[in-house]
Amino acid sequence: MSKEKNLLSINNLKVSIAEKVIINGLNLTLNHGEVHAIMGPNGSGKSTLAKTLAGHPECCIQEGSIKYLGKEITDLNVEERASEGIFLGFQYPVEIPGLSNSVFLKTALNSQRKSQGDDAITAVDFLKELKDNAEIIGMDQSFLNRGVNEGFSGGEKKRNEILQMLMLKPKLSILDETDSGLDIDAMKTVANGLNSMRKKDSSFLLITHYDRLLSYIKPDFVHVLSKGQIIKSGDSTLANQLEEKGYEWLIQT
Amino acid sequence: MVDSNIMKAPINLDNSHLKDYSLSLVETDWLNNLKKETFARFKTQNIPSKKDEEWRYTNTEPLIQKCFELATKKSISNLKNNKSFTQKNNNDNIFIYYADGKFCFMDKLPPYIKTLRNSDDQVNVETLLKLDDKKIHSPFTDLNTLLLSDALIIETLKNQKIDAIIHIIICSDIEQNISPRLLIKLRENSSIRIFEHCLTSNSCVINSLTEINCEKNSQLDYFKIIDEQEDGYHLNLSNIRLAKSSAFNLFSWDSGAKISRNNINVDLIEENASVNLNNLFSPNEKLHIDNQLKIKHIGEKCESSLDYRGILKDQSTGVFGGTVYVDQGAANTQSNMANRNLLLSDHARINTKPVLEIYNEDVQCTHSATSGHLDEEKLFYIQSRGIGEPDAMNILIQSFASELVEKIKNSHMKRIFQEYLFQKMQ
Repeated sequence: MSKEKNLLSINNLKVSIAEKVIINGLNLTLNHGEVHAIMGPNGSGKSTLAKTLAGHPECCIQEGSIKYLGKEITDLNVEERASEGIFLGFQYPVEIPGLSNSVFLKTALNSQRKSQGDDAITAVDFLKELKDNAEIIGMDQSFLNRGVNEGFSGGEKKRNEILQMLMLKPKLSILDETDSGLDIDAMKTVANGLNSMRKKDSSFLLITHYDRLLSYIKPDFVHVLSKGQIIKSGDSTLANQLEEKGYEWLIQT
Repeated sequence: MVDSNIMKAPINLDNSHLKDYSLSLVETDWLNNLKKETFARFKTQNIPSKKDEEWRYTNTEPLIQKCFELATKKSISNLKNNKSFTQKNNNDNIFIYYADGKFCFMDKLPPYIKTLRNSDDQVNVETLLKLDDKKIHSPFTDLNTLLLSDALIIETLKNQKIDAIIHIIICSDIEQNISPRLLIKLRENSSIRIFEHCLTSNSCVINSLTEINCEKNSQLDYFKIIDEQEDGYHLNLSNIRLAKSSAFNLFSWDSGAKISRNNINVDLIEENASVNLNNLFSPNEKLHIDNQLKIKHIGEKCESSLDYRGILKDQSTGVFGGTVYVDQGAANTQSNMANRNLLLSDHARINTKPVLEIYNEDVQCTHSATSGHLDEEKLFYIQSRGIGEPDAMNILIQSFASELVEKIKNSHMKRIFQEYLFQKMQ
């Protein structure tokens, strides 16, 4: 384990997609075990930040650095970052018919273990863990043998993201609007899943529009993103303020 | 129709030799007469070329060259010494091999399977063989008849539900022209499963002709794997006629040949008949696969569904030509035709042309064709879980094929296709 205090430190990051600058000089530091929420109006660059951290090839880093566990990761590809413990919960998870959820998860888990020099998980252990985690987030067993997200409702897809997160046990989970499209019950089960990992010193970057999720998972910090920069940071009360007043008052100043 | 000046065929056919050879293969009078008629017509046939709409994307020249070059070449394969010929099966399925112009089998065949050579009811065989006479003849179908020395006849009884899977293995290990003829007739309310496996280990030409007739309420599940040598050729014409409430379901996988050409004509002649065609075609290197399908809705309330998926690697090429024709009287027709293609290299090519020809207003018909590289967002999703790019690509290709294989209900056949998928896509 790294003794590095900072899990993630982003410095003066500038990112463009198709030559359009989306992230423009962003700074952010996240320590082990912390939960940060990133809020902001549509088009402020929240999803781009998430995709950039996960290594999406269309996000072109123009300037700045991303350090994870003290190491620069901008040159690492997508799967290498995942194996280092970075997980992205997708805003719109894709459907992959013909690939079953459980086969996908097992392949992913074993790829990560292999790159970390660990042995493959046994079938028995895998199934037990899968069953336990499915229970935590209230997912029916029958979903595990269906195609990845195939014919899943919006809420089911989000639950599936959380299931993958629980199975892969990342150090840093970036959840891109995982709360959108969830009803209150689903929100609670998702929050359950997150809180169970939080206890084990996992860190989270929660990208969200509303403070609903944040009432179940109290963040250590809340940041407001606008035009590709963090324009305000505060504690969890900032989220409540935003809920009352919107973003206008911050952006105008 | 074909332009007459295409007649300038590139091959120098020794007609008389072919005729003598053809007649030497059989002894029965009626068959000799059929061959003489066929030969008379064959001489006047035009050789198909790229000028024919149906052959637009397939260069017939090497195919014809090879096909006729091997036609009169007498050759005996080494298959008789092969273990699988002498081994007795340990399950209830039936194995029939087609080698060196004959259908062979180890076990005693059940009464619903006969061959031309061992059938004692020649009148019935004659009727079945001549069934296709009204159809359009091509030089290839005529050549099949000329080279015919045996035929496999599967004819179920009324109400007969057959559990055994009939494996038909068409094979060769030497360079030869292979002309199997299959005649399949399902009587009322019967059902059967057939698995045709084309397996060659030399540059052969398979030129097969299959006639299928499904009577009222019958169901035929047909499985086919084409696994040929890269320098082989594969030609097949299947004519399928479906009577009231009968069903024909096809699952096939074509790995390609130098040229693999598959024509399937389905006539839904009476109400409530249904046809389901599921196909994977996966050529690599410079292989070429050409699928030509004609679905004709004549009866009311019939259903057709076509799911053709191409996985094209390297410099391979593929063709999908699908026509669904809905007759004036075919009210309440339901038809879905889809051709999806994965192009795995910048040099792979697909020509796709789904056509709907509809003469009745009361129908639900859809058709779609998509071609493209692997979905970038799906790749990113898989990689973001820690799976490397080559594996992620493989997973996506496999899932594309697997989605179709998973539709197979029969567990024995599903396993065969899954194993084939595993073997092909690793």
